[in-house]
Amino acid sequence: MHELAIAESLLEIVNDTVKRHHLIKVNKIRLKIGLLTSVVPEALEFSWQALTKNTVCEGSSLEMKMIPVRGRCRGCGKEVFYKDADQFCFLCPDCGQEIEILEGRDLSIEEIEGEEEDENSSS
Amino acid sequence: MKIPVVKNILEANERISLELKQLFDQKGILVINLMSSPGAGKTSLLEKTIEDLKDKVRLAVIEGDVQTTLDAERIGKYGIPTVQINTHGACHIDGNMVKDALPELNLDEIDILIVENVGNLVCPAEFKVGEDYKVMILSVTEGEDKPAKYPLMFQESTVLLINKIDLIPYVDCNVDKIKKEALKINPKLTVFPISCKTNEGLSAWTQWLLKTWKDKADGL
Repeated sequence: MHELAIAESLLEIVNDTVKRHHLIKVNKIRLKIGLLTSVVPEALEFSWQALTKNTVCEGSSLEMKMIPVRGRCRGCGKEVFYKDADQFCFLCPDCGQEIEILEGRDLSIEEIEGEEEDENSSS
Repeated sequence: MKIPVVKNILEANERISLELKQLFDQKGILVINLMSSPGAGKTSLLEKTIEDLKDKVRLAVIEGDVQTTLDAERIGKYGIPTVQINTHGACHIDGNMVKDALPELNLDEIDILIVENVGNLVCPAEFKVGEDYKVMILSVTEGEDKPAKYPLMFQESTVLLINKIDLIPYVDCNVDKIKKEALKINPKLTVFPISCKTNEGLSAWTQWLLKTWKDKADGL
């Protein structure tokens, strides 16, 4: 259940953005999650909802884009894609050499969607 | 309004880990993040490693546990600096926990620091603690399907110790198969089959550790 620790880190980044942009509500957060991370989307969602109760983030949704793994053979240069963790084998199917991983280790935030404080009504 | 924020979610931990790494580099300390599932033999490996190396290098240990100080007590008997971290429920050690433990260690008197992570094959792989290398243990009783089931830890590790090989006659599993499955996930892994019970294979591991420390010290 390290998703709770990940959600805590995410909340820190979101809170920082909320302050800097004077947001009064956060509606949506877009994330990129690589297939190589061991993040369980449902557990991250659950942790997020639990952590953000009674905050400006309450009710916000996490839009998680799962990033497949892409690699390239260090020997022959063949590009290999893995859409499912069951397919992981980082030895080249053609020449047997090591596949270097280029993408799929992501655990990043991309965009925050929220409502700004109305300048006229700000106190 | 939409605000683009392109950041690694774990950047706070990555930053702390980098600061720790710089500090350890400055002091010439080799840091190993030791990971495995519960009961694979992390503490036993530490005991054997200390017995073998305590007269050759200055070792120190940070013991991570969800609860209790049992492991720290086992290691403390060897008379080397040991700090206990209780994560109070968290399934892994992070950079901050190691940073908080540092005041209890004299970094000028340490050559190799081993951080024994919480027993877990998933979470510790995601959080750096300022280490040079991640080393993992898989015991033969856990089965050869573990690399496929927990790819991140195998991917992130530099060394895989296959422990409890003395039990091979009693389990439906063999070292070659585990090794083959692990190398599929990480072709660069250095693999040492060991037994903390019979001491088989342990010298290859301690020699690796000693050489890696010397290489780091020479390179600084």
